Amino acid sequence: MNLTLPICAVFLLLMSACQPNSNGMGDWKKSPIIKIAVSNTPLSSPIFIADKKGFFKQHGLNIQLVREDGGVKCFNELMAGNVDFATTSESVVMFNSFYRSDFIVLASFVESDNDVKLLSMSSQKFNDLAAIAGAKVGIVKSSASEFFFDSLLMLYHQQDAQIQRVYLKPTQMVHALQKGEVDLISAWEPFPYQLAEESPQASQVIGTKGLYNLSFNLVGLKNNRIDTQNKQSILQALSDAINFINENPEDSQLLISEILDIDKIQLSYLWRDYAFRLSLSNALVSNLQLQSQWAIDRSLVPKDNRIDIRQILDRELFESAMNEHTDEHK
Amino acid sequence: MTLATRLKLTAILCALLTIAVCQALFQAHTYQQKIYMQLNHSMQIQLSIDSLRSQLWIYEEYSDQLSLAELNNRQAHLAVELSKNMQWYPQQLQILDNLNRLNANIRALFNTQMQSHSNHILPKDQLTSSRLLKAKYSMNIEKMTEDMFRLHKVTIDQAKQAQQSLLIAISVVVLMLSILVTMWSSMTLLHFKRGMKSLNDGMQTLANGDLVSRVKYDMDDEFAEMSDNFNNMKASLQKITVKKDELKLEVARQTQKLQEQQVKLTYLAEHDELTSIYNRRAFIKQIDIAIDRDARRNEQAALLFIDLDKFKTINDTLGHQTGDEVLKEIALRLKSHLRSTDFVGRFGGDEFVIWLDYIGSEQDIISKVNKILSVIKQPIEIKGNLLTVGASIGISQFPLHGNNSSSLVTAADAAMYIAKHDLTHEYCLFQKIG
Repeated sequence: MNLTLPICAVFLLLMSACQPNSNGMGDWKKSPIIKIAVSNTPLSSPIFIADKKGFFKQHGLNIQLVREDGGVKCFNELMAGNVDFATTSESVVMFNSFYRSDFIVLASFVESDNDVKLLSMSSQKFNDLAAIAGAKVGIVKSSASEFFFDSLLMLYHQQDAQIQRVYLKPTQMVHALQKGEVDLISAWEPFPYQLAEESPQASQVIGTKGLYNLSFNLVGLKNNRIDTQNKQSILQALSDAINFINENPEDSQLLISEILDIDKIQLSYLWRDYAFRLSLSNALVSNLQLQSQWAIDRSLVPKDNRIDIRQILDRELFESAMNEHTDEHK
Repeated sequence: MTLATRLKLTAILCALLTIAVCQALFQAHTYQQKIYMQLNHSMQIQLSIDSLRSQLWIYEEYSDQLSLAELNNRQAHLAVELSKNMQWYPQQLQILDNLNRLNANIRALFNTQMQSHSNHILPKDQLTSSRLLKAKYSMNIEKMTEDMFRLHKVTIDQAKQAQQSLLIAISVVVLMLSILVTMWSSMTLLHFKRGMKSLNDGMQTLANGDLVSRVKYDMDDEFAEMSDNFNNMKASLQKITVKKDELKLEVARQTQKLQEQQVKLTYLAEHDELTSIYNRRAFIKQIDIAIDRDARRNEQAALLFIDLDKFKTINDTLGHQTGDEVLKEIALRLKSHLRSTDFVGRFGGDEFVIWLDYIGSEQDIISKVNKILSVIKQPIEIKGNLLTVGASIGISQFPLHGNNSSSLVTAADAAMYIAKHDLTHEYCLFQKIG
């Protein structure tokens, strides 16, 4: 009996009916090159994954990544006109918002709620924030390090505690603590990890997870040569990359550890605190406002230059890109 | 494959189809339940978040231990809601994880207040602190809202996707099974029709009297068996019919043989064995018939009684066989020289009798007798010997010398006796005796 032929025909018919219509692929070569300055940190994972996994290409984008050490350098490259977009933390955005308003945040793509930590070499001496009076605290001036430390004092109502602030460069912090030059340091990753590796007896003064949120954002210039369509495509590619990361955390970590040449254990230690989510919400507005107020209170910025944060967030672009993306998936 | 097996397989296929449909319906039902459960629960989570939000607002107003305790309750409630297993998909679990983390962040924020409330704090500081706190938890709540939106979206997307794939899977399975059942049933039907047709055709040809042809059926099923049996039956029938025909033929043959024997016997009863002419009894019977006829028509006839001369000598010298040959030759000659209405017979030994019909005048009779005498006297060649015989002939006339066979024969015999002893005459007319 020959049933194979009709069954195959029916199967093929069904298969073709279920086939999603592919689009965008192959167009990317014709597209203009778009440069993105990317900070060499796991926080930039969505950008790296979108590049490595071809999500940019899928959306018809011809993206070129320019890797930099740190968000500040990325932002500077953007301002110098060397790149079209940059990845940077919200602190950099906040400080720059006092000096210029020609840039705009397209989206926030990751957040860490445990990036900055308050560390000491002895867990006995400083096991409570009330006990830090008189301590020498190593801080990076006018940075997330200082903002985090101030927030902590405020939340624990310890603003009046007698504390000696020792301003250090980020790379000096671990060494200063180990040498006993300071009693505490308020340091961001990867310094806490480095300290834990080098001095196992060192510990966090207090669990601060959730008390400070670090976000990484995609920023561009307001008068950009890139058209709206491409900007939307970038956001959509990032959204796809984030979905990929959330669905394949192990594969993603493996890829990132290869790209950034980071130890796999360190990466998974950091990864626990990351929440990959493409958004541009009031949470970011609040965060920026809070930091602006803090910067003003600390006289780190010219008070009169304060701008409405909402002016540097392109909500319209973000929402249109997401709506279109949803429609696409439907 | 036999028809019974085919039908059994059809039944099994139908049962499979039924099971597949039931399974599919059950699965669809289970799936629907799961979706409802998930959507319902995500609504519950949404409500918990809303209640947490409202409690945060209360806390903002009062900033006391009571509102803080209530806040803790709401948070615990949300944590419980988030931890409930609703058979979430990995994507949903990831979002729930985020929500849990945000909830924990809010707890961490308010834990800072738990400790500080016991201290006496300056109002100036509290203002800054509460502002920071408010901004922080607002951020968390905002993120929660975002995550909830994503959870709803993912749940609906997953439901849609799973439903679609379930539908496709069910469609494929049911369609394939249906096609299989339909094709299988059609094939069984075709087989059945073919089997029935070949048997029916076989029966029709048998009904038309064709015993030679056989039903041809190449499938291996019940019809093949029936066809074989039918063919065997036909073969037996053919054999029986052949026997009957042969019997008929044999009967006909035997009947013919009997008829032939009857004819032969009749012939033998009426004819002389040696010469094949009438014997005495048959000759007398023929004379009687002729007398009756002639008497009716007033016709005249003559009876010649012939006794061969010198026959005894031949018989004695050359043997009985030669004598028999002579008798045969004489009989042949006599027969061939008579008219169709006349007839000849042998009375035994060398005595012959001849009936001459429609003859009345003495002249004609004597002329005929002379003719017969000359025929008899002609030499006969047997085994190289030329033999001659003579004859003495006695003549009686009808109705002159008698009106029945015995009187006529007696008269002719008497006349022949005279002629035999009269050396001057070879024949003698009965009347002359007197």
